[in-house]
Amino acid sequence: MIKSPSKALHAWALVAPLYALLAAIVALPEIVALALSFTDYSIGRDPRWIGELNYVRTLGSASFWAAALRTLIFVGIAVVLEAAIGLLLACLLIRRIPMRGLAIACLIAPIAMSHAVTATIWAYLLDFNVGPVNYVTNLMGLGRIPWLTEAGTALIVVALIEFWAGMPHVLVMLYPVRAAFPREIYEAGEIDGATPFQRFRYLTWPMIRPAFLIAVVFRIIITFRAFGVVWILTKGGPVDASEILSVHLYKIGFVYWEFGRAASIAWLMLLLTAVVSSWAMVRLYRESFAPKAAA
Amino acid sequence: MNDQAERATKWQLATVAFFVLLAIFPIIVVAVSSFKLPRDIFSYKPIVFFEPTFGNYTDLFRNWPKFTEGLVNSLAVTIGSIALVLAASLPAAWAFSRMPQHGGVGKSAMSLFAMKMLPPLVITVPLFPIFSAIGLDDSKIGLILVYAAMEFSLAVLLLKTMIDGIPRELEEAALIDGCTGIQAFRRVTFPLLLPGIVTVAIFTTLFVWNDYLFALVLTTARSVTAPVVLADMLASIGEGRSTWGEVFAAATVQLLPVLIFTFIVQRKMMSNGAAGGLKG
Repeated sequence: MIKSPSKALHAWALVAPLYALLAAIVALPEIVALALSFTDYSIGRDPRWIGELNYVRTLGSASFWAAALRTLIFVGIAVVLEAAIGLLLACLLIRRIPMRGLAIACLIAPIAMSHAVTATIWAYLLDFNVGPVNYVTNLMGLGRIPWLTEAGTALIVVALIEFWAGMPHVLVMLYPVRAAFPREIYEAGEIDGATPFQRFRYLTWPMIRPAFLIAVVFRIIITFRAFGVVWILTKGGPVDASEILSVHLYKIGFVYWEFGRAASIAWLMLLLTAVVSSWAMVRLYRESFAPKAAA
Repeated sequence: MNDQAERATKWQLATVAFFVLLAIFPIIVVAVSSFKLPRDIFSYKPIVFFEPTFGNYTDLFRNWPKFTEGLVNSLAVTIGSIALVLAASLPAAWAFSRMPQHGGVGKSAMSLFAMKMLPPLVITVPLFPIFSAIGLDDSKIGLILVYAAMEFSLAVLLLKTMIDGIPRELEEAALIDGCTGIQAFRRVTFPLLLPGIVTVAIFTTLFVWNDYLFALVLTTARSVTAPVVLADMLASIGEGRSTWGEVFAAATVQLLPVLIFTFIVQRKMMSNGAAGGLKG
């Protein structure tokens, strides 16, 4: 095909509305945010240029680093569990299981839920007075535990809820991949007398690894930005025990209305995500847009 | 292939059963409790058998007109977003699939993925003052613009992959028969794309109907959506402005349409492995 300027114009005209909207809603605001991050802008006040002061203050603040550490723990607990259980279930579900369709539908049900509903459900289940979980722990002789209002447990509990809500996503990404493996390779494995673990280690794992890595990276990116459930359940508390970076950013921006400082945290978070996500994005782009992948 | 799959062992069945229960039991508890009388909800011992009542639902719609408004807003914003997502992604996906080499359009798609990587909170911080300045705060149009922008990359990826699978010759034949480019797309490509369009609508619905963050930041009164009202109601329990019963009823009403929807379309979701990654 001959490349012609009119064809190029035609192609760009077709993608123009999409890019125009993305520029207005995403790109432009990000540039505004970058500019704001060098000012002391706050609601009802004219922004004043203060140079890199916001970044100096953010990077020097103990609460920022504490929030970053909590985010690391939160993402660590949630993603490790999601990935391990998601992979396990993807491998188990391809076996002959009664009512498999229904089992899968139930397993991925949490995907259909808003953060508000997830938070409602767990707020009730874990409630100190009326929650069924405390009824059970009480029966077991452990007494009632203030899961979400106790500094020692709040962060771990919200991370476990994040796991509950996020695991189906891993399953949705891995199950179709696992289901597509040809059965013949496993038959060969059986003849050679391989144990189930060996079959997983030498047959399943090498084939599912690329999809597994992508799933893990996606979950890291998504969990890193988790906000709704934590905000609704604990508001980052008690005190700041479950204040992960997203909650920290929200508080500074929309509770204290310090937009300049919030913008600096936003950009730091953006740079941090960029490191992990650019790898995944380049890979996804190659898979779906590279000429050879089109076949 | 499934017919000759290995039978699961007892332990494997037990493992699957455990996680099925873990996933579905909490949802059932809340949905079932929405039909309980207050005395049954507050009972120290969880009650399994009870006299069902619709009292919580009548209370909900009588005491929380805001929730009804929220549902209407959610519905309007969801429909608007689906329309805008499709209107902008269909032509773009076609261009990405059919003419990527012209003017570097194909390469520019990389930017779509880059934008998808921005954490939503990072976008809301600058959007809030901008929307306030141009009067798009607390408006359904503003929400629709944001939701559509967030969903573009997934929509384009899905549709582009599907168009790749439709032979170019079909469109060319229609052109030779005298169709214009748009007619060829509408009569030949569009019908073949319908499953992809439905998938895009599903993912957009799941995202928009359930979103909490953008609605929380960008709306205050007129355009508040159901999830934000629900979170408000949950917070009001402690102050005595709402009851657990009303909150259960609201959660059930907000959840049920999408849950049924997911049950129906789960096969479709399970067959979109790669694209599933961009959800969420």
